Amino acid sequence: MTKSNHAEQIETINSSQKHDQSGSDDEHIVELENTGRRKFIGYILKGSSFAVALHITSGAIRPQDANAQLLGIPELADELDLTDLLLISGDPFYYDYLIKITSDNRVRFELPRMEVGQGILTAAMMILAEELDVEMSSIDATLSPAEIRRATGQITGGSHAVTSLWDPLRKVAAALLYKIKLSAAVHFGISVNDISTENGFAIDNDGSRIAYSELTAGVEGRNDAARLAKPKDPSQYKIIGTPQKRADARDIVTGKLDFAMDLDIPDAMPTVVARPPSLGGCVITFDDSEAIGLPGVLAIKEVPLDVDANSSGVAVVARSFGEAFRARDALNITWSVGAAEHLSDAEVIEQLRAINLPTLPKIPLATDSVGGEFIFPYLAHAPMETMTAVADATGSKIRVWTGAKTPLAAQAKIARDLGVLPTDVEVNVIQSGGSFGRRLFFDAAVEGARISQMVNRPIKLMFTRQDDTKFGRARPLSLHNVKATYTRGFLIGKKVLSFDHRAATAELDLEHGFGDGITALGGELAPAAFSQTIWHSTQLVQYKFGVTSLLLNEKKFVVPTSSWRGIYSGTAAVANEIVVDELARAMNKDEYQFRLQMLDDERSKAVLRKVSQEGNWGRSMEKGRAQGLGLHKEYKSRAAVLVELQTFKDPEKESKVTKIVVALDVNRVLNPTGLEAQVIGAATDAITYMIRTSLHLDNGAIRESSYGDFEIARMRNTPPDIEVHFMPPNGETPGGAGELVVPAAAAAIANAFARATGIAPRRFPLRDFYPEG
Amino acid sequence: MPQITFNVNNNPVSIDAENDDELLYLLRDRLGITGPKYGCGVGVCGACTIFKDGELVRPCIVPMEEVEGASLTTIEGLAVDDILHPVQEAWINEDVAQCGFCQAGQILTAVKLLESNPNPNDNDIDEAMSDNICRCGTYHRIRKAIKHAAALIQQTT
Repeated sequence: MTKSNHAEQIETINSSQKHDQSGSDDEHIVELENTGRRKFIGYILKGSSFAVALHITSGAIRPQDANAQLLGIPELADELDLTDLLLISGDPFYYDYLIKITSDNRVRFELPRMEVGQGILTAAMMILAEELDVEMSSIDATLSPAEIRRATGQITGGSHAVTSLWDPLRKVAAALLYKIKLSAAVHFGISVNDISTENGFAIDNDGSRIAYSELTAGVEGRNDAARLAKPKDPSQYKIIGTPQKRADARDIVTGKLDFAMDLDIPDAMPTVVARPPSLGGCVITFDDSEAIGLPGVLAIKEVPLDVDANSSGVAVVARSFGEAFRARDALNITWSVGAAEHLSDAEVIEQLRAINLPTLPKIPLATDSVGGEFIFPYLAHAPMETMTAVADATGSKIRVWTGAKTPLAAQAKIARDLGVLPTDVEVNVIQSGGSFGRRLFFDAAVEGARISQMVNRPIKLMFTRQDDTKFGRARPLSLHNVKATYTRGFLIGKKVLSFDHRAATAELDLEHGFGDGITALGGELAPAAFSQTIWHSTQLVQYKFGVTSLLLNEKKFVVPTSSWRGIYSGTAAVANEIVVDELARAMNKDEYQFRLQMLDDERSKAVLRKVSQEGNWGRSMEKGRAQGLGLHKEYKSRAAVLVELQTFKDPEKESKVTKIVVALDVNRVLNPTGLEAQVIGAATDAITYMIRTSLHLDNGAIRESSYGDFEIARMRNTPPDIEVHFMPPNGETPGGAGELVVPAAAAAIANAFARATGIAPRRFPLRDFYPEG
Repeated sequence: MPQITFNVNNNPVSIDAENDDELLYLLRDRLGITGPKYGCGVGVCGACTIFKDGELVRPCIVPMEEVEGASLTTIEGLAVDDILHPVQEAWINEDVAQCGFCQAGQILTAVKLLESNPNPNDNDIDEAMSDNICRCGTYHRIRKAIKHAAALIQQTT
């Protein structure tokens, strides 16, 4: 077994107990007992160094009396999830903000996170305005550049941004406010307890006012003493919990918001790279004699493989992008054939099938099972702004401007690629036109820095849409075997005994680690181990389904990958929820009632009830139309989605979502309008990938090239009828929400499709595989 | 060297036309007008949409010689003396934008829709707006903002 390729994994299933003690589900009770009669099943898989051992009790399958406890197996994610891991790794570096009070009594704030449209900048400004008693409009907020001292505290991903800002930013601001009050107390010669604050002023008890700027310059750098500060009591909130529009809304609607390619970096010239016809192809020779004399062309140079053997091509620098495109097209390049020239989707699927771990063997009693094999295709992130970077590697300091969610990993990689120290690389983080997981990687920044160094001039590197679609990263193709087993129950009623999920996916690239150079290097050295960590800290079954086991195996293919909104949950959790529906029907239960009975989580039951009530679950609908439900639990939050779907027998027409009802429990809603936008966006994503579109790997190349053939949802594919309901505050710290609704909405669509057509959805997008449904 | 002359956001421009650039790159890379965005380069996404003589065009597929003598309006030229167009107001009021990259094209397309149809229903909006992609999925709020803008325009006329 080679440890560098696959981490050995031992999954032990024992008779521990699920948390829910409600006892309201007597008829589903199954007892795990007699662990002394354990049956040991070990699999050593041919062709794979991946091993798994399962312990299962034979007693697990024997229904017992109605008073016995229902037993299940908590997944790691029930106890310690990815949000926890991110918070634990980031916490030592979180109490570090730049909050300056300028001489005109404004607040200059740097956010050590990335804004890609999800609204985190506005959310952070709300926290700051609340705790500092200033107006939102008096804050000038920008994004922090990569700062090595922030280590694992500067990553934006995994839907933990609000959660990770919550305590640190509130407390740092509260500590600063206390400092301001102390100074004001000295100034006015009264007790600090008699100082009040409002809109950037400290106020004496006689009403005299002094501006914050007269009292403090603010804070910058590590501020661990602030951990002891006491932020406001939530009952005092004036901003948090109220709808706040995007802070940059006016700049956006007037065209003033600058993205990386809009920046005016002196002498940085438009640059594009001619890329190979198939993935992994390299330049053998090229002839630029026709291209070099074209108008505006400034430089043409081969880009050799980078330090990780990626991204070979020929770079063209010109006065405008149009000129660069024309010169690129006039190049005569001989390419080597890519490493996987015959590889297509079908073969990837075959290879994944071969490495997938088996589900539990059939239980030799009067049992039946539901489920099957689900396949999710490669999927582009396709943010509106392609991968872009401005780079200047002409001096001793290498400077880049780019939209990076992991700027420290970018800094480390650029340094490694160019053979310099990370401290010689400056990564300026620029607000970007969408990410959806794509900007966890920084491919344009690395390539841009090397090109700038090669041509010895500042450049603006832009991936064309075609580059982004064909060579950009993708959600990995994945295959999921999901099986739920239940007793036939002639005498005692049907009972669920087990729920298995075996995922085999094209390897998900997690080289970015926790956003810093150190763990990124770890991700590079032991990618499979890191994948297993992410899988087991995100995947769980929130139903009392007896013995549950969820396992992942991965294999690397030529298509570069990156987490897609939802990471593994965007596929795995969807397959699970489809099987939950099938299980309900197999047991002659209503899909809603069945979930309510089997859920082990009160918050999930509450959001489910909410969508059922608001969405009028079970209302009669005309033929070809149906409702569908989907749930998701992750990021310390819960979501339920009810959709209504119209299907068509006509193969020319695709299914149409006609209504979406979402209920969300995120503990505490920070900004209702921002959160609602995220929810609707996530539901729209679900329409895109469940119904409409995907990438295809054909003979070592991605077939699609632009929005013309990678057909993300447009206005007409989304319903006017969308309702989003937030549950009442349910805790102190806001949970995550950026990805939360993706799996729930995707599952609801698939389940509505199954209920409308009678077809069991197994392949996606639906319109490609079930054209007459 | 051939020159072309046109007007953009009420400013006259005269520039050499030696390179046959598409209009988008002329605007962005040589004139520094960056409101129109590159989203696809082939006219399928709408992120670069502008007005040319009062009609919507996608400058990523408009050869620059076609703008000789034309009058162009980009998103930067929609507000007059800092007074926002009602569509821009509505976009702010409904908090439409997420990443914002497509919104210049969405806004100008909505302006055109409301010029020809002051009171569009959902189907009219679907019809007019479905050639503009928003990857963040702001369509729901775009619908609301168009109706909101329609009401604003009716109030003022």
